[in-house]
Amino acid sequence: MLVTAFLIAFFIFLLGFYVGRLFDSTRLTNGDNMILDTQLDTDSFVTEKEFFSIFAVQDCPLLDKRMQKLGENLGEIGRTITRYDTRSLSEGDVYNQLKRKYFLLEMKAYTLRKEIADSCASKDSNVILFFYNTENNQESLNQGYALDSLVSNFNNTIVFSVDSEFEEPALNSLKAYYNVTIVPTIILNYEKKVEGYISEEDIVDLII
Amino acid sequence: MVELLTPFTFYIWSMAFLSVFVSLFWIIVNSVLKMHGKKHAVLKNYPLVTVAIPAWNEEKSIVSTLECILMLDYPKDKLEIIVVDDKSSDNTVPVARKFIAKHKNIKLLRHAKNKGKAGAMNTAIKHAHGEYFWVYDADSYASKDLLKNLIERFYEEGNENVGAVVAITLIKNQGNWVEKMQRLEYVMTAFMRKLTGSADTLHTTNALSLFRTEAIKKISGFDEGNLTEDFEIAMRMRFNGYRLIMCEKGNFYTRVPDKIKNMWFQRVRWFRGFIYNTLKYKKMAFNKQFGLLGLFQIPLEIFVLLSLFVSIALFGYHIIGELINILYMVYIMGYNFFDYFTLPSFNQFLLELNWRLLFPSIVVLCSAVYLYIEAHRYVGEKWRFYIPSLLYLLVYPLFRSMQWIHAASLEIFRAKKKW
Repeated sequence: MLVTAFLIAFFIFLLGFYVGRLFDSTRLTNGDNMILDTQLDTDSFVTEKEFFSIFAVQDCPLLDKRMQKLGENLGEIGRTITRYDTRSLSEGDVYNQLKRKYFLLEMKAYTLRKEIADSCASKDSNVILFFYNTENNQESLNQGYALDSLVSNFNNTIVFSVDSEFEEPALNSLKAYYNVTIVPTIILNYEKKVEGYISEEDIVDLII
Repeated sequence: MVELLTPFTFYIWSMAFLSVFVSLFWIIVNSVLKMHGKKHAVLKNYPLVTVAIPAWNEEKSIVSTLECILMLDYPKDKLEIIVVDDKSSDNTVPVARKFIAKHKNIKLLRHAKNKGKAGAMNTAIKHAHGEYFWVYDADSYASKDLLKNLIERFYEEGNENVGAVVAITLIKNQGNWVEKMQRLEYVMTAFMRKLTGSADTLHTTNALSLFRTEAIKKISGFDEGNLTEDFEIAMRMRFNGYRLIMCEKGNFYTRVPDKIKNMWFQRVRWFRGFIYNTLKYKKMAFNKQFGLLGLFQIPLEIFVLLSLFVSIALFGYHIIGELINILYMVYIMGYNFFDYFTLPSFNQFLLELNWRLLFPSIVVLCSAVYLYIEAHRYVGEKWRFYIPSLLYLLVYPLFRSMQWIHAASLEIFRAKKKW
């Protein structure tokens, strides 16, 4: 009876693993679809921007608005991917690819935002680049909460979050450019670098 | 890639597997029992039974207890009733004497000083002439057919080395929710004893268990000073090669504490007794000589007890970590803290569940419900879910965990034993 119970329990666990694997695939497909949608939005945005540039149309408010939306979508993808992080047991490689796509998309959006800020000389919105590492790093978590609160209070703020430990050549270049050595580090409006935790009030003082 | 790598998640997986394995094991035992019904022995001549009533300040219940015994469906000339007064300070002795004057087969023995229940039973054993020895708590009463059913089990084929037959215990007082909650516990315990009895891993007796007198004498009677002498004698019987079985026909009813405080201290005493006696007979664990009891039941109980402390430590650490995190969030985010928690869509909710763990958990839950229904069927009661059931399933395990911690700490610090 013990052996039978053990074998059935083992079979149930295998079945559980199989169901879990199916959900892993669904999660990855869901994450991939979200990224694909945002990628299309980015491409659409780039095309629109090129069109404006070639036909000499200057519609900075529209570009700002679209950029804001793009930032919100990226934030949503980031939160979803972070939540999946604790669930991803199988297909780790595919999950890493998903993260890679996400961070590259963020970097692209960050670069685009800089380009628009330069061409429109826009001072209406603020951009924050946030380097974090959530594993055993309470300061990074706290910085994330402070930035979430900032975004809730100031709608014109976009935060691009980057996992400092994630291995990706383009992200390494970004880290090297800003000389990021510790986490958390935030870059305010492309220039001001703050290392270590900084409160919402202090960020507001720096960007306003 | 995180889940299998931390000790916490590994522990959760192990516990989930163990829960599925154990619940399935008992379901299989139950199914096998259903397939192979037992033939009950029918006796022409019933043997002499000594009924021992340990009495301490029982002036209110002693007469009804004796009347209840005399009303049993059992030949009166085959009953030897011994009341052992354990130095009562009330009128137990005069009340009992008055009743005994009218009945020749009842004896009253008196202790010069209080010796406890085990001491009273040892006194009764010394004067017992019966082939079987029935411990009858003064606050309990048996259904009329119980004694016959208990005796018949000794005479079933293959039960020659049975040292004791354990009766189904049910609750007499089911008034308030504390009592109702215990009712569920007693129903489940009775059913689990039936299963353990069938798997030959039963190692406890209760207030109205029937012993083979020769077996008790052979192992030198009850352990005086032990917090749970009924558990200790059961362990000692098993240690000496006797089997214990359940009697599935007939019940006995007992009174349970009606207040949380009393219930708390009763359980703490039981759990202390369990810890002490399990350590006393630790040689039985992982010992092939004791079959499934040594290789499965005792190691499982030790593991469950140890895992309780590990669980509290791990979950405590986890919960404290989460609380610290929430405090940080509240401190940093202020009112925006509430924006952080948004309800996910149904699809998102499904995707965020840990299905690998949820799947076996659902199996365990279904098994638990199945066993719950079977347990009620076993004791002949209608199963139902009501508030005390929910309290029993959701709150009582936490309550019980704290009682275990209390009992373990008392045992570690060798606190004075209290009954």
